[in-house]
Amino acid sequence: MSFVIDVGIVLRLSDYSETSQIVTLLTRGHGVARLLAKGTRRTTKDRFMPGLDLLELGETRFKLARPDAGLGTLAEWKQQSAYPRIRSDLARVYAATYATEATLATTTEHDPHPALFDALAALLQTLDIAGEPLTPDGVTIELVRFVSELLREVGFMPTMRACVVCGKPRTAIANARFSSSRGGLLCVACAAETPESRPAPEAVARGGRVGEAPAAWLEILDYHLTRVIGRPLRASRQMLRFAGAADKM
Amino acid sequence: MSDGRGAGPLQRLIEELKRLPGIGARSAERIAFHVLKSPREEAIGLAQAIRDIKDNIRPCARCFNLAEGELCHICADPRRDAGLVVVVEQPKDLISLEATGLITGVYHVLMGAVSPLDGVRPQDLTIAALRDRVAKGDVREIVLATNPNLEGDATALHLMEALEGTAVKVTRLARGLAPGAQIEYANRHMLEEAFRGRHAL
Repeated sequence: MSFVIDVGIVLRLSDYSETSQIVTLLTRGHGVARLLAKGTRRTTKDRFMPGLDLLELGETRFKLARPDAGLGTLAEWKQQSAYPRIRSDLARVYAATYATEATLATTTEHDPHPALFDALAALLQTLDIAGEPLTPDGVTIELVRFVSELLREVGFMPTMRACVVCGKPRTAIANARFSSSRGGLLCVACAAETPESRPAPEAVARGGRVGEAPAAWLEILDYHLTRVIGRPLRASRQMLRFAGAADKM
Repeated sequence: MSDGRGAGPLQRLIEELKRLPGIGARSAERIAFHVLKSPREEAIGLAQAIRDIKDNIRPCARCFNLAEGELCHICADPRRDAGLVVVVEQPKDLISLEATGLITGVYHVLMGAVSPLDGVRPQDLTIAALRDRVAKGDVREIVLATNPNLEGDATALHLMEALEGTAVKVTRLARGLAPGAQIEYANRHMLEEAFRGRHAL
């Protein structure tokens, strides 16, 4: 495979040797790419100046691995933004980390999702806004929007407008429940026949917008993600704490 | 078929050396043959040094630096300013800072950095012990010397949260352009930090 040029966001970094790292990028045109970045820790390597860090956006030149092979090769990284203001607030750090972890857990290599890349870049850009600091609710709202976009892109967005089994409209459902395995909201009768379900937060069940109840939306999407992935995200507990969501998992 | 090395002590040494970071099969062989050819006292000295490090090195009871006794050589040194505590992620960072010869204070080693992606939480670090040191009242200033990356920044934010409400002054190492760097090739983030951290001459 030949070298390609793309933009990417650093999702994961791990040490490979004293001076080299394995970097996982979400690229716009080539999806998730796992690359060996040789010499990133040498201060003399101006191809990578000033090194690589998580959640950076940059222009990159790399060679993808063959689908059956291990790592590709990162040849160049030119940082465009490190989103410095995210790093000055723990809620933003955890929101951004949650987003990258969810992206990693739900996507595979060699599967481009340009819309997902744009959504992640937009989230990081919004979290980085200076001047008017985001409130904790503001951070949660932005994260919920991103997670919804992520789930839509990878085909796991739950149905929230009606009972996913019988089609009864949300407005006609009392004591609505949510089932990840069924893929959305359930009325009580359909929930009785579903082994896995939990009460849907009231604000979500009555169709409240994300801006009205961000913590409730994050809580239900986090529950859904946990079941889609098969484990909770590592950033989940801290993020729910920042969002003020009850951790009922 | 035998490769000439047999399955005895030599092969065992090669296998052990291969487990070290940065040592591949060829390097392991080269080192093993070097040990085999070297004088007996040199080889036994190496083995003894490895044994000593495992038997005698433990975390300092105060700062978690590597220590041979209860306290490390820095905490035990009465000439050190115990009111100035430099907080680092790992002992290797402490060694680098000590090499500058500028630090007159003492250290606190966190034994890692907060990493949400790797599941390293603030409670996995020695933050509670740092709070205890501060609570004793003889700490005047804490210098956060965590790495200038996302994990180091998150760790610093957690430390700020943990030290909230104490009277101690908290500072952080300066960031920006590295000596030898050229402004032309520096990225926006580096330049922003260098500009914000400018100082009077």
